[in-house]
Amino acid sequence: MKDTMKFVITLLLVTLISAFVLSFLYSKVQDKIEAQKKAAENDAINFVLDDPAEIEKFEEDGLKYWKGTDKKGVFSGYAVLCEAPGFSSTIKIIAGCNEDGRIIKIKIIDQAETPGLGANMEVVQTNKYIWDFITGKKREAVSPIPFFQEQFFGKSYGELRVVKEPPKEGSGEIETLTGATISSQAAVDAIKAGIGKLLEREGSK
Amino acid sequence: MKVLKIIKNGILSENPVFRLLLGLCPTLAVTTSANNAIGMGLATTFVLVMSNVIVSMIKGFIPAKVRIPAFIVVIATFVTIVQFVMAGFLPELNKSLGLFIPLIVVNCIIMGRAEAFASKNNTFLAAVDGIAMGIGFTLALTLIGGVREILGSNTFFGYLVLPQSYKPMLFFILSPGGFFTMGVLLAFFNWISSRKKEA
Repeated sequence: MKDTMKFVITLLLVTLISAFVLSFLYSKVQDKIEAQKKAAENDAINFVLDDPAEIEKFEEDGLKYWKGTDKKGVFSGYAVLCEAPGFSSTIKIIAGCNEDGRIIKIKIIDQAETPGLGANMEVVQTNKYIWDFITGKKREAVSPIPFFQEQFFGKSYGELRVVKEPPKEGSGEIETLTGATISSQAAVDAIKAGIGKLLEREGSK
Repeated sequence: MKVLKIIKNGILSENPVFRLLLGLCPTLAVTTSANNAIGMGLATTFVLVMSNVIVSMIKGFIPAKVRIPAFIVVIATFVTIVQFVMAGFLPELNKSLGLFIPLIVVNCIIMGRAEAFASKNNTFLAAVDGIAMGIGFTLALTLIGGVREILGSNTFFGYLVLPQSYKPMLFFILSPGGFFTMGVLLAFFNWISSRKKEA
């Protein structure tokens, strides 16, 4: 009996200290984490709308979207937050599009897919060889935009389709990431659903 | 002398991956590239050192029968602290290492060292053991990750190895390739150590 009490008290103390430390730390970093998420979101909106002069935010029934206007005050595009469950995380994307659903640019802002497979959706293509360190050869710079995301640029959201072979020119085909069909499909689904809902809402106004 | 022995233990004779066969789930999951492997290795090293230090400090107060749940709470607390601190203060690092942090919770090497070493030794030796095991783990992961990356995606640390027209063996990036690479390397290291014994 005496032993049992000792066990209970020890575990209680250990968990209490742990809970106290974690909640204290969380209250300290919470604001910082929120601020960083906000900054990342703002960067993404500016990126997908090609640096608009002004952004107006809308949030209704769980749909979060922004309207961008250029310097002359003319409407330049929508940005919408798209979400879909991927392989091991919720993939969050901000997609920019015009009134008839043609994608301007997209940016994946949050995902925790498998490193080396699904997580490659945020990886930039390379053309540098390891031997370049020895030979000293300089190579042209490649696109700083992750190759998976670049595929969506300029495509119409309704035509998006996941394929396993290199996509046909001018079609809405998106080539899957190697070994990560589920993650790739989820990204496409997220964008389709997100832009679909946005256009529905804006069309009904 | 003892310190040197602990370091040699962690890196070679008791290498967590190739000799103790501990922490294999994160090993197989993240070794798709050398960069990922190093990231996971460093994140694990940090948690390993911290949990070893704390466990060796509190070992006197924890009754033996409830030590395992107590150690698990300590480790989980550390992993969460690392996660918060990185997300709050090091956003760039968080982007590249953040993916691995939740995987550390399922890494039995941390529990293994808390139980086998830290709960029996003083704080200084426990810290040394944490560092040595961490380095051993990181080296092993980088080796597996490097092999899989070269064979599976024709890159090493993100740089191309063979001309791009060469189609790499995707098999090595997928999980069966992980088991395969791991098995072959394990056999290789066992062969070396058995030859040493005979000589």
